[in-house]
Formats: sequence, structure tokens, C-alpha cells
Amino acid sequence: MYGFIDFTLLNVLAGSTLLCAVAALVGTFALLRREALLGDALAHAALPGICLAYMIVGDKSLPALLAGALATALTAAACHRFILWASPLKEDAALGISLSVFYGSGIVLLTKIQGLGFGTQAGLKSFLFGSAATMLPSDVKFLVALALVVAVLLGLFFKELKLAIFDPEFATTQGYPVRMLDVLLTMLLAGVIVAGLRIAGVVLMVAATIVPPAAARQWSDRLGIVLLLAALLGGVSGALGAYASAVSPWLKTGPAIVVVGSMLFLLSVLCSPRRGVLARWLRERHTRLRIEEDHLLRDLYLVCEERGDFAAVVGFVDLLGMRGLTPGQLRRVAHRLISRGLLRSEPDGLRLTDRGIRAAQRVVIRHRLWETFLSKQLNLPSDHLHRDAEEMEHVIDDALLRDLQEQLGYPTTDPHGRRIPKETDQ
Amino acid sequence: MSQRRTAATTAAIEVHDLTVSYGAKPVLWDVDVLIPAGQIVAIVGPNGAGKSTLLKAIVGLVRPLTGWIKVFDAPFEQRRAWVAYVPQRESVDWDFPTDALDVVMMGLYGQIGWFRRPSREHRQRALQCLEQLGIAHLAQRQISQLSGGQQQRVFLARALAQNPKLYLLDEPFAGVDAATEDTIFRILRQLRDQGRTVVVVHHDLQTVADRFDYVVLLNLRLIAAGPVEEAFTAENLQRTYGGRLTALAYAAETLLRRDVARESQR
Ligand SMILES: Nc1ncnc2c1ncn2[C@@H]1O[C@H](COP(=O)(O)OP(=O)(O)OP(=O)(O)O)[C@@H](O)[C@H]1O
Ligand SMILES: [Mg+2]
Repeated sequence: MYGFIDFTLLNVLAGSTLLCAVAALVGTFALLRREALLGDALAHAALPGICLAYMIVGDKSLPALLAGALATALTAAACHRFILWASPLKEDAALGISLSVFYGSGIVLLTKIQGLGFGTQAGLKSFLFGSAATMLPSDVKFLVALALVVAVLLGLFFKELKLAIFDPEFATTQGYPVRMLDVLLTMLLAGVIVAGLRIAGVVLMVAATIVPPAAARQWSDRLGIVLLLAALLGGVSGALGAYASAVSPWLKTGPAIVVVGSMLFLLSVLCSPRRGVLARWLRERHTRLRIEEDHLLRDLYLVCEERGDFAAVVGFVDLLGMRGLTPGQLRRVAHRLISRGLLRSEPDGLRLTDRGIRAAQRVVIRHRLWETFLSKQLNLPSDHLHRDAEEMEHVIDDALLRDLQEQLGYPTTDPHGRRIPKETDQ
Repeated sequence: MSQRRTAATTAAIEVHDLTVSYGAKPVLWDVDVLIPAGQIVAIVGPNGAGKSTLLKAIVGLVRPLTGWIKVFDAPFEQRRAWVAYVPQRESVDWDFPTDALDVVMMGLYGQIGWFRRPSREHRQRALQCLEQLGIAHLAQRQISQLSGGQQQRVFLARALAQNPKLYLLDEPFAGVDAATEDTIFRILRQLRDQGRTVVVVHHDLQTVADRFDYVVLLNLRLIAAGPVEEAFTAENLQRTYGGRLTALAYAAETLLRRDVARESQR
């Protein structure tokens, strides 16, 4: 395998990693400004600039083409801002207009170049669609410099950028040059995208500014960490994508990077601890199971209380009747409680263990205290109490329980005249 | 319009001949008003009366068509550090990745200065401000996970952190419960007693008479301004709210209660 780790590959790896990392950094700010698609417009608006530069200079000199691309990209950004300012249109429509007008005129110029017999336009096209495999050491050096500039600027103005994006009006009243900070961010975004076009192409550059930041946002609620994570995820997808395309020749670098990035995004959406789909599902499931268990414990307690014997065996039929469970549901809940040592299974029913009795008491205490609270403090009629207590019994923690007891003067019976057990009762 | 009390004190805000328009139609017309320093001032008026616009004009967020505004006898640009502006809560993106403490710290950025990181003292100060509003325990909470009233309090804490001479608060009590409103008013009174000026865009006409020293009634034009006892009259309210009967009914009720209270004091 090590045959693949040659100089060219190292070059491509380093370049892709750097490019995707900086793209993610500047993209995070665009995402937070709710302008994730600004990068898309900038990338497309580079085309007319490339064509114009070629027509004026007459050859494919790199600095000229880059300068042309940057110039029209920034002009498009300015047009976008102008449309927003001068018309009632919103971001999406304004971006759509800037993007299509600039890209459309780029296509016209491209056709014209072809028609005038300027020679081949192939070189220009690759400028738009990228070819990472041909990355030169000079490209990598340029990317290192770009990454440094971006990182230093974002680091220096971190606090001010945060303020200007979060609350531009407040920032303005404090005398911060909000407009200039906005221009700075747009220039950085345009710079990174234009620099990356020739290497990675339009689609990848757009993806690289949106996907890693969106993935990073899933993992953290702190701007600094979101930025670092975005750079990390961007770098990883750049490196993995470049490597994958190097080992399998049918895979182009740009698409490979997008695929890796998308997989990281999917992973983040599914698995991140707080916002993730999986975590949310698990949390909900955990709550649902607890509620089912609490209910069964309380049902058993009520039957035992009536019989005056907490060690009594309660038949399945009695339990099924209490809240319309199916036998399957009852069996599953009972199983979980048995495995936690709170219930014992007997031939003709279920019996609470000592620990089970205490656990059931906890639920009953909460239920009856809450009913007492509602009827005493809120004067709810007694037929309204149960349903509310049915939910509250699961969420009252120890501190709230103590507060309730204190405020109600340690009541011993609930509004229905039933005894409120004490935690130590057996 | 009475100027008895204002003549004695200095003006915190002096608005002269102010006209503001967003498009063709002016939303503030020839507004002339003096807001005295060291008082709690209510700006009242119906929806769309131009109350928020007046605050924005004061802090330079909208440019007036004609007229000028002075803050403590100078243009706002020279008084930025003296003024804390709290916009309506809806004006920012609460999904932004930051926590309550961080937002309060933004009030200290002016003090911290460019390129520098907040120090431990700054964090401490921000935490104190949250504590004053009773939400220190929410310092690390992501701001979208705060309730509307808590978000409002975070904004107020940020204003406290700025330690200004003049507070401009745009509907700070929208979506705030009665207990919190009391807490906030207690803080506002403390600020006033320290000699600061608090200007509040306020919608609850029932509390104006009890809680404010000075009132500005606004509806496109200035209707009246003055100490509450003089300017907050049924007639001025009628002129401010026009045909809006519900608002009037509320106000009439308060005025009545105030009169009854006065009678019984005698
Ligand atoms: N950005 C804007 N562009 C155009 N018109 C605006 C803008 N902001 C406010 N307006 C208009 O200016 C008028 C005054 O608005 P303003 O927000 O100052 O009212 P307000 O007194 O604060 O009302 P509210 O009680 O609803 O907050 C309204 O008619 C409103 O439609
Ligand atoms: Mg308003």
C-alpha cells in the first residue's frame, strides 16, 4: 500500500485538508449569518471574471484569472447586498438573482470565447470544475498562506465578529463597524472559494463551506468550539476524500470529499449527544419506559393497599384491567421490573419485593402530594386532580418533593382521603 | 406640556423637530421632546406609533429626515459609552451558538477592547449582572433553551453590565411574568436612585401611573410629555389611542383607581 504515499499524494492530501479546513471556517460564519448559500452565489459568479480576465490578458495566467474571479465574485456579493437594501426581497431571492445573472453572463462569455476562436476553453472549464489531482507544491504553499491569514483574522476579530453577527443593532449602537466586519467576512469567503475553485470545483467548494459547519453545529453550542470542530471535520473529509480517490482511480477527488463530508454530517445529525436524532429517541424512550414502570408499580401498590397486605400476590387479570394494557405490554414492563429486582414473578401473578414496595411508595407519595397541592393551592375540583398528577408523579425530584411537603405541612392524607405513605413505611 | 420638573433637572435626551420615515410615509412627525435625567420614563402609544423608531433614532440606528437629537447635551456618537440600548427580543437569532453569560459579556466588550479576550473579572461581573436578575443559574444555558422572559432578562443583564447612565429599553416586559416584572422594576428604581435615567417603551397602561415618574405619549406625533400626574390624563390617552376602546377602558380604570386612592388618603 505504501506505494501510494508518494510525493504527489502527500501534496494532494495536504492541499485538500487545508482547503477544506479553511472553507469550513469561513463557511461557519456564513451559516450563522443565515447566508449559507452566499458561497454558492460567489462560486458561480467567479465564471464571468475568469472569462473576462482571459479575454483581456489573452492567456491563462493564473494570477490574472484569480483576480478576475475574485473581482466578479465580490461584485456579485455587493449586488446581493444592494438588492436586499433596495428591494423588499429576502435573502433567498436576492441570492438567486445574483447567482443566475452572473453565472449566465459567464456562460455567454465562455461561448463567445469559443466562437472568437481564442483557442480551447478547456483550461477555463477546469477552473470551474477543479482537478485536485494536479495540485502543485506551489498550490499547497499558497493554501498554507491563505489558511494562516484566515485563521489569524478570525482569531483577532473573534469577539467582534460574534457580536456583529449575533446582534448587529446592538453592535452598531456600541460603535462597532458592523458593515466593515460584514465586508471582511464576505471577502474571506470569496477569497477562499476562488482559491479553491481550480483545485476542487464549484460544487465541492460550496459543499465544503456548508456541510462541515452544519455538522459541527450539531455537536456544540459554543461558537469557538463549533469553529474548531468545523475546521476539524472539514480537514478530515478533505484528507479522507483525497486519499480515497488516490487509492481508487475511478473516484474523483472533489466528489469523494463531498461524500465523506456528507457521511460525517449524517453521523452528526444521528449521533450527536444533545441534538442528535438517536439521543433524542433514546431520551424519549427512557422517559416512556420509566412512566410505564412507575404506573405498574403504583397499580400493584393500590391493589395491595386495598387488601392490607403489601406482600400479596396480584393476579395478572387484575393488573390488565387497571389501565387496559395488553398482556404483551404487561409482560414486557413486568420483565424490566423483575430484572431490576423490584418485582417477583409468582405462578399466579406478581408480587412486590421489599425494594419494589419502597419504589412504589415513592411514586404514590408524589402522586398524592401533587393531588393535595393542586386541590389546596389551586382549588381544582377533585375530579381534575388525577390526570395531572398522573404526569407530575414522574417529574417531581427529591428537592421539589421536600418543598411540596413543607409547603403543605406534611399532610398524611390526600384529597380523596387516602393515606400518603412515608418513605420509611413497609 | 409641563416643564416644571424638567427645568430643574438636566435633560438626558433632547429631541428636536424629529421626522423619521422608512418610505414615503413618515412614522414620526415633528417630534419635540425633552426627557429629564434621573427618572423612570414610559413611552406609550398604540402599535405602530413609532415608539421603537424613536429609540432607534436616538441610538442612531435609523437616520432622521429632519431634526436632531442630543444625549446629555451631545450627539449620540459622543455618548455611546453612556447608553445601553435593549432592542425588542425578536430582533436577534436566539439559535446562535452561545450561552447566557456570553451574551451578558457582550455588554463589556466596549470595556474589554478590540483583540482582547474577556478576563476572569469580566466573567465575574457578567455573572453578577445575571445574579441581580435572578438567573445566575442559567449562565451556561444555550440561549435558545431559555424562555422568553429569561431571554428578556439576559438582555437586561447585558445592559446592566454596560453600566450606562441612560437605559433605553424596548418593551422589556413583553412575555415577562408579574413576579419578574416586580424584580425588574425594583432594579430600575435602584438605578434611578443612583441618578441614572431609564426610558421604557411600555404597553401596560395600568402600571404607568404607579411605576413611572414621567410619561411620553406618542402616536406619530408627540401627544404629550410630562410628569405622570400631569401628562397621563384621560384626555391625552384619548388623543393617543383614538378609537381604541379596550386600551382606553384599561386606562380609565387605572385613573379611576388612582383618584379613589387619592380620595381615601385625604
Ligand atoms: N424597517 C421598517 N421598514 C419599513 N417600515 C417600518 C420599519 N420598521 C417599522 N416600520 C413602520 O413604522 C411604523 C412605526 O413602527 P415602530 O416599530 O416604531 O412602532 P412601535 O410603536 O414600536 O409599535 P409596537 O408597539 O408594535 O412595537 C409602523 O407603521 C411600521 O409599520
Ligand atoms: Mg416597537
